Amino acid sequence: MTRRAEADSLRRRLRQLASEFDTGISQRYDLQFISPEELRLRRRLRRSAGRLLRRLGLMRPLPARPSPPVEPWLTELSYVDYGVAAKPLLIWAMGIDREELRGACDRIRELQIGSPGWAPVLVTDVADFAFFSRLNWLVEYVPSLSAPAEGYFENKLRYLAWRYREIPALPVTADIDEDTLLEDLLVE
Amino acid sequence: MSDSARSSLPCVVLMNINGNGMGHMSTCLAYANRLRGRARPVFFSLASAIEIINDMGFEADYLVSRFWSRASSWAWDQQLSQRLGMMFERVRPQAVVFDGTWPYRGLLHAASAYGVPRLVWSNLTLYKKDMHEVPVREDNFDLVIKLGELSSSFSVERDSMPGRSVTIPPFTMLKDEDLLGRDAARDELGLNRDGRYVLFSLGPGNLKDISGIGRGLIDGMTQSGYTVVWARAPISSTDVPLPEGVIPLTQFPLLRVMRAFDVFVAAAGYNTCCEVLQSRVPTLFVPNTQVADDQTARAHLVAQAVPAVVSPCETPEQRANAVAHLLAIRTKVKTDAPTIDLHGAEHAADEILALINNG
Repeated sequence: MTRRAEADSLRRRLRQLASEFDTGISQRYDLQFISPEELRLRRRLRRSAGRLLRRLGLMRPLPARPSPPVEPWLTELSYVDYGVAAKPLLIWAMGIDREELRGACDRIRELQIGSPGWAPVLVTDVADFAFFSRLNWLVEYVPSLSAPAEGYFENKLRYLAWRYREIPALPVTADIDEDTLLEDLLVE
Repeated sequence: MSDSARSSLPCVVLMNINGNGMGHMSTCLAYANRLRGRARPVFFSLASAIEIINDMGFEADYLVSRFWSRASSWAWDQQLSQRLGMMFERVRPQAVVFDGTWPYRGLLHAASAYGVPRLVWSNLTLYKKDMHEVPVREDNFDLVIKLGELSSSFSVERDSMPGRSVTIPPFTMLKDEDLLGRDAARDELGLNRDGRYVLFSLGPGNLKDISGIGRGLIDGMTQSGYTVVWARAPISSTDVPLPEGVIPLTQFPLLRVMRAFDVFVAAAGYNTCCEVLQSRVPTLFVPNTQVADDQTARAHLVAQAVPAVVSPCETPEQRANAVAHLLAIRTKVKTDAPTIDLHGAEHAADEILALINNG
């Protein structure tokens, strides 16, 4: 497959996966939403008392509070010196074997020397963390779980495609030669 | 066991933090080993040694730990909550066990949002006196398992739920029969049966820079006629460069082959101390003072039961004294050593299963 075809294929795949993600999951488990059961009894009583007093006009209404700013999920690791403010980069490495993956990661690491300022996140279904720990990349692992959780694999894949939908991606099977620049391989 | 039989077992999600090394993962593996065949453990690990969990026969997913991510605490907890929620909705756990110092907000939120039937907190007891109290109430949990130190036996501190609280005795990942004898372990490692060997396991090199202390102790042991074997942790982001003649060893769990060694030099994490108690290899403890638990106190407790020396080894004089002392005591048997109960993991597994069946 040519490099252009690979990029097009990855772009289509990521968009499809991201569109299939059930965003209800992220809403159900959003920390902004605090279920009544999570509040202590004392705080629940105070809130109820406050609501009653405001309804009776015996207490000022609450000022409108702006929503807290959404704090971003970063692909940077705390122990890595990126030198400059690093940009996130998605390395999509699904469905390739361990040795091929190691070779591709080593080639990309070499490219990083010529193109600093990236904070890669590797998406993989290969558990090779002894190797990954030396890449200094964020790793997102997609495991296959047995019944009744067989659907977890596809669900997590969709989630990761959705989570990282706005960052440039690199197909790990990209044909990389010595003169290649990292930026030339990216899929936006 | 067939897949259908396994899938009919109650699922227990084990969540381990990534502390200094793999101690918390080792604790969860010890629980999982004792739950095998009676429950279906699935790991949600913040320690990245996933292949080790898989090699021991368990399934696992991974999230980068809060310590390793540059995201804010809130953003990280948000991720934790969403990813745990995704796991819970698929594996449908009957219980979730968190092993760590401070139960994360993301965990508590996901457990509440999903409706996890039973929530368990597993935690050490021997912390430094200046450590701030964790602002999480025990009655957020159906069961609290406290990891007792050397002299602990199983006890129930609070019987009522929520917040049933038990203390378990020490434990290791492996049963006694899983440990290789001296010759068998040396054969497996390719070591000379007649040689003198010391195993070093000072930590993964991610938290405490051990190169200075390690190098000094290597020299001391080498000059005393020992061949040094240096354990490298699988999840270390960098390797301590090793001097010539030092043999690197990447093996997990080390416990299985520990009796190959004449002496052992190690930090004093909970799991390492339990492994010394089980293997009874004479040990020089170099406590890690940058962690929350009181490794110095723990090491002194272990030294009551097995031949062991405790020293910070920060100066050449301390190192020389420690090595000399270790070699002097290594053949001594402690006749007044207390009887050690190492069945803590069995108790923990029984408590978790009782919670599922009766709670």
